[in-house]
Amino acid sequence: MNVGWPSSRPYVVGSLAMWGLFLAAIYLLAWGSEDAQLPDAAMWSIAIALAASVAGQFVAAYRLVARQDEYIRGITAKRIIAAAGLTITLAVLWGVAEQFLGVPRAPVWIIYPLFWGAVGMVTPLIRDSRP
Amino acid sequence: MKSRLRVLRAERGWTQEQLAAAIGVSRQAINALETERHDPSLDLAYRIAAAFAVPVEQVFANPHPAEKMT
Repeated sequence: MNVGWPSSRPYVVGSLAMWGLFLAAIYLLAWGSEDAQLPDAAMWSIAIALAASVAGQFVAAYRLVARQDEYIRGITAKRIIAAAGLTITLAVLWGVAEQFLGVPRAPVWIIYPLFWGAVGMVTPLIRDSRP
Repeated sequence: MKSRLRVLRAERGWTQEQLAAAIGVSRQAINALETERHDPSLDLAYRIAAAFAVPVEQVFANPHPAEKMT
């Protein structure tokens, strides 16, 4: 019997760390640009750390999915495509509305949490790996 | 794809977890196969057949009728 089925505990711990870094960086950037007037070098360092947390989260997700069986990989791929489609569609709509229709400006980084929110939304709806 | 997975498993008194562990997949994968929400790869189909010690056609019936090449 194979009892070594991949555990997702390292993924959960890693994800919490990445999200903690992401949120801390957002807070620091807001504080650094308004209250503390941090120098450009410091602001860039924080921004790069934030971007690294996003890349790290995707690397962790990729590694987790790569260890799963074909069914889990199949439904995860469908969920990611559906979530990316929803997020990009919304981002494009908001972008043109912002540029041409005068809707309030939204920060581009919001796409990242929106994407993972969309993954959460479509997950219970996509349970079939077939086309 | 239709299969006799649930029947074969019941005949041996195995749970989905036990079968999943035996062939190295998740319990969700076994459930998806039994409820026709996943079509197995050839490799997985052979691993399942080997776990039951039966030919693969006894687990998964070939859905494509044989055709003679002319």
